[in-house]
Amino acid sequence: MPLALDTDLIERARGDGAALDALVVAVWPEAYRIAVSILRDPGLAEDSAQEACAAIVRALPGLKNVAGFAAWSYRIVVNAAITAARRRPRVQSLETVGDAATTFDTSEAMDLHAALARLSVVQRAVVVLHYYAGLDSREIAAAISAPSSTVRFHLMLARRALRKALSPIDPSTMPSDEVLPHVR
Amino acid sequence: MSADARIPTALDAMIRGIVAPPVPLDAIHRRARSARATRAAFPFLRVAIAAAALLAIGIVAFPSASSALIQGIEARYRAALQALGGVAGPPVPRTIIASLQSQSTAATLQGARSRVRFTLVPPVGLPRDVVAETIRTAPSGTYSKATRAWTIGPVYVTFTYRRADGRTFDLRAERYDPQAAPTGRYMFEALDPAADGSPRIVRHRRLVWRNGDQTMTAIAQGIGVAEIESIRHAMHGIALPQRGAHANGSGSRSTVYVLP
Repeated sequence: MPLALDTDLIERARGDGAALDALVVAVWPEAYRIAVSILRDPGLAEDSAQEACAAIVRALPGLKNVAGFAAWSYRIVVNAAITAARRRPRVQSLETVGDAATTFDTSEAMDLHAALARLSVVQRAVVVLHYYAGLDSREIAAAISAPSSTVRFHLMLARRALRKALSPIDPSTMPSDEVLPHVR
Repeated sequence: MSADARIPTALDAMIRGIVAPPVPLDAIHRRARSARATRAAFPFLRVAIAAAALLAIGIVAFPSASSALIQGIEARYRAALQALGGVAGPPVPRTIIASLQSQSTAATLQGARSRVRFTLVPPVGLPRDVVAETIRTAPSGTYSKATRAWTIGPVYVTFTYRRADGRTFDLRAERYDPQAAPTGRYMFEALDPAADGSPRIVRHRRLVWRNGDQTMTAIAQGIGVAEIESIRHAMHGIALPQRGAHANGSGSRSTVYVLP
């Protein structure tokens, strides 16, 4: 799980303003990256990540299991992103659509990003919670308030799309004009 | 390595490659404080109200009133929504209100049927003390978040009933839209402030059901929830899902809250 924080910091953040700030600073990049991965809109993702961090600040005093902070905060971040996606206008301006702030070092990451774009918001959330945050289907089901069977179905569809994106291209399946661009 | 095995590492690399902007600490703390204050007063924050629907109530309740009065009514609902932590759309322009009012007309059942583009199913199973019925048709005002503009929407029908004790209640029929988001379980209205100046908000239960291509909406104001349910059963209406399905405080009476 990428968000591994010192439990002492989490405990101190319940009553110490400076520790709370340090916690937010540590959580923020994760919250933003996950929101962008799900929403694919940097502006909306920033707003959603802010909302998620505010929710974490609000709910932290009531968190019973400090050791479960990472999974708990991932649930908050993902739910904030899903909520933001539902409130998003159906028609977006061209400036907000696209991949601003998401440039990748490898072609594999680009392929994956493109494959994620073809999934629904909830499927992307399931993928992020499973493969990135390391939650199992039961934990994801609790996080997004869906049956475990639905989560497993989303994962199956998502896995199929991601597997395709990461598979090496078989030249025999390519159209002939791509293999031999000079032949028409 | 198989494609399946590469998914976690590739996804991890992809997400870690996204560069986050500087952390907006002040904005996050501000949001946390503001939501905490409203949540303390209202445990059921997920409800929201549609300004267009509230505007429609004003138009129907006061068909010949000035646009300033209608805007005042709508402003009270907007104030309630904002007090609950919601985000209200912009105020309705006077031109839209004037246009809605000019197109709001009394009608017979047959007249109303001819003006709508759905099969109008009139209410049955009404409370026994209903003494008068009025039918009006009017277009709805719709705010689009995409275009950020108010427009005149399709025509709906409002059945207004007067009861023996002087109370009135409305039932609103409109075309069923399968794409529409679920309506909230409650509607909120801002009352005059309490004696100590605290804002007061009243919560009304809202019920929505479907008959063919018609959606009927009733608000438990002047009528109880059980009486509305009787109407729905008599009409063989199918209850539509609603947002904000909280178990607490779901009684038949409207409830007044005083915000701190």
